[in-house]
Amino acid sequence: MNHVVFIVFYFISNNVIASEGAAKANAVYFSLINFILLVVGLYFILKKPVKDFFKERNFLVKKGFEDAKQLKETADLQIEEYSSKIRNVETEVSKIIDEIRNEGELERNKIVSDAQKMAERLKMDSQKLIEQEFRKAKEKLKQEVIQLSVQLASEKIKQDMSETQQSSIVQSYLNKMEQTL
Amino acid sequence: MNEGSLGRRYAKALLSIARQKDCVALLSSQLEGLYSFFDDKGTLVQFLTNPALPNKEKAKIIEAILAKWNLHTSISHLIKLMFERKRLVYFQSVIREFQSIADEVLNQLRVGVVLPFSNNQQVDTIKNKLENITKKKVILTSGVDASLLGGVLIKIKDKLYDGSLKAQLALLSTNVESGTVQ
Repeated sequence: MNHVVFIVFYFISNNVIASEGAAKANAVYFSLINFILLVVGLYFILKKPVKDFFKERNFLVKKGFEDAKQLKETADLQIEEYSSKIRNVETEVSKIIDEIRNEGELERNKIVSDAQKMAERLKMDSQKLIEQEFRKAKEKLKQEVIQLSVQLASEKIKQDMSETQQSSIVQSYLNKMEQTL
Repeated sequence: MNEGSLGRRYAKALLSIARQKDCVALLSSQLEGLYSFFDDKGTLVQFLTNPALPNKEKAKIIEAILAKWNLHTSISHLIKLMFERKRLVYFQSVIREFQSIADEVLNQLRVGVVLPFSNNQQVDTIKNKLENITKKKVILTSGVDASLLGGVLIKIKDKLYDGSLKAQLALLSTNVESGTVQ
């Protein structure tokens, strides 16, 4: 509000002075006064915004410095860390190689152990299969022998059976029946 | 009612009449001759039980059969009765049951004998021996089966007595196979 009043007053005074015309001689003084009034007015109007601007600017610059400082510290730490890592890289590489070697050794042992177990199992299965096949063959052979024996016996009986022998067998069976009936 | 019990009822009734008229043996022998004639899958029974054919025709056939066979009146009446009641299909069962009961009444035993070769003398020996053992009159039917090799196969009612060498060889081979005999 003060700013508006000052501007109106400034223009009115300027016009009044100009209309009088009589004081042309003192135009330089009036211009000077006019300028001083302008400067004073501007001082009052712009004092606070300029102050605020510089204050904020000051804060931002400070913050920028602090951020930069923090970034620098972080970067220094990282540089230190990487430098340390580079210094330990040979140890790390050697450690990794050892680990890989150990793992490889373990894997190799596991594979060998698995293979040995599988071989053992295969051996046992084969043994069982052989025994089974052997038993089957033995059984089959036994049956063939029995069948052949029965066949030979039947043929021999057919050839050699006499009536007397037949009568004797029948008589013997009837006697056996007599005991059971 | 099943076939067996139905046959038994008719058989008992027929036997009762036969005993009154003292002709059990006669009826038994006549029924024995009729057995194969009344086979339930045979042509005669199929014809007599065919519903598509008129009963008059069937009755004529029955009369003709009865006249030809000159059967005892009890049997003729029974056949006619079973025909009228549409039970002629069970006539074989009646005969079986009658024979079974009649055999007990007549103290006789039906025996089937199979030998490896024909030998009448041996059949007679077996018959006499079985009559001695059972103390019953044996009605024996004989047959020949060369595969028996030796010995005898005797069937009494539902029981089979196998004294053949074939059976003995089979038993021996089973025992050797199972390890009972080495």
